[in-house]
Amino acid sequence: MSDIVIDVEDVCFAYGGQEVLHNVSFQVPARAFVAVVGPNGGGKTTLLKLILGELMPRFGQVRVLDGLPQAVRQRIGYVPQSLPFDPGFPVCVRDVVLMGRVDRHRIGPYRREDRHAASAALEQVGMATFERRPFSDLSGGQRQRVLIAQALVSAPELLLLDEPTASVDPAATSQLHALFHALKADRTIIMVSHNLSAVTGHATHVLCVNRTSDMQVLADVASGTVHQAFGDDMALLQHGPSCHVIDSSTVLDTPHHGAGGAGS
Amino acid sequence: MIFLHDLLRFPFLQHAILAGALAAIAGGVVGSLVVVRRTTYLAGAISHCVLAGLGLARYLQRGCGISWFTPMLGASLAALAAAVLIAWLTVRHRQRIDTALSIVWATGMAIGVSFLAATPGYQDDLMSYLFGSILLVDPAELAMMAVLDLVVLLVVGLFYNQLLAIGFNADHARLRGVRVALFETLFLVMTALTVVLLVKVSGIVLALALLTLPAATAGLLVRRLVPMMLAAAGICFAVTCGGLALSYGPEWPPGATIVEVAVVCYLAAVGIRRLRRLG
Repeated sequence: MSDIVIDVEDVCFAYGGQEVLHNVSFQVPARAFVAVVGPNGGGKTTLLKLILGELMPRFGQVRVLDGLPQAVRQRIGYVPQSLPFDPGFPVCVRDVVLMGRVDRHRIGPYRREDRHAASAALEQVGMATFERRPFSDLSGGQRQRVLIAQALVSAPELLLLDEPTASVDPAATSQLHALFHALKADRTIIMVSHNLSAVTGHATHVLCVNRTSDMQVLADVASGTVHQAFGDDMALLQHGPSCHVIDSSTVLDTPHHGAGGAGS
Repeated sequence: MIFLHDLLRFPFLQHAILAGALAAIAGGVVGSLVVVRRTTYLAGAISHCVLAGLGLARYLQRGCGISWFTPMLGASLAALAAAVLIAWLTVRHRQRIDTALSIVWATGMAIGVSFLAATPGYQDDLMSYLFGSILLVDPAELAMMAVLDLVVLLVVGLFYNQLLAIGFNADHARLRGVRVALFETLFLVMTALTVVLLVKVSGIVLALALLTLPAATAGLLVRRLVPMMLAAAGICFAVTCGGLALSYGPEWPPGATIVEVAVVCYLAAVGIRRLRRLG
């Protein structure tokens, strides 16, 4: 495996006529912890879906774990921002976690090792005592932790988290951050977050995504680099002015690199 | 009482009970999946398309002398064709799926009525197809029902994890490498086979009730899918026996009585749940 886990090159993406990402390029090295910040509607979730291969770029190329996203999907763990969940669906917490390993066996039931992995994943997110509880009985934050366990149970090399602590209470949030900190030792983590100050202790990189997108990977958040680029107030990162976003009118006029110079 | 007495004497009653049991097995298992996935409308479209198969079989048997093309075979083929068509439609026309299903639903019935009208002889079949003929099940049909049951149980048993995963969150299942379109189709095919079994008991119009009511009742009482399937199968068999016994003495239509018993059971379960919440 090469040292580059994610290689995004001149990617443009549009929903219909609305361009969400424009000429986006960046690379993520192995075992990085990337905090993705940017305003609402800035394309953060879209970018995660491009990395997952759930969306295809209009121009440019996304390569993940040395392959096309669709081909390596099973080595990626993904926790979505919200789950379209039917509270009447009759599953317990363990059932939900085991779904993270649904690809392990083409036919037949889960095996003993799957159940052990599910218990271990629930232990990691601090939900071990809830294993047999109906999923619909849990609070929003507890469900989020179960979904993180669902992503962990497949032992992914790359973990994509879309605001994983948005609906989790402060105590559980710090517990989860400690968990992410431990996890980054042997895998790459990309985490969308609105609350940058919460991840600065763990992140190794910051990726700023804003709509027509100026994207920067900033090595070593803790060092002076960030302060150089963003000024002193880290919280300002998620807001436009200090994000160094190129004005949309100029960006939209630039050609798509991926299309061999064809105009947009 | 007279029912129990006659049950020991008349094979047709024993066949009816056996048919009820066979239909209940698949009905409970697949019905639970249909209810938790909220796809009863899909099942409704499939069951009404069964009339096209029944009509075609009757026409071929009586009109063209093709005796091996039995109504049960016709029903199975029509249900499978409807399932595959609906699977394709749900992929292609998701936004307008209710309209597409209504068209399939009505077209199936129309074709069935036309075939039956074109069939020479006494028009005795339509009512029994629409509302069931559980007292007329013969051993050959019982054997066919057992085979359909076996297929449904085998498929659901082997691919339970995939079916559960796409039901809970199809997007996540797709990301985990599950071939969602394939399993959606498989699920609809299982629904189709189950509908054929239930049509034998309660007819096309009421099959939907036997597919959904026992599962919905079970869903009120248990909180996981496998217990729900078992409970739904048990409830389905119980209401079939209960309905048969109730209808037998006064000579009520058995299919309708079975469904009415199922409704009473469902309402009782709703009541029990209310009481539990209060207490």
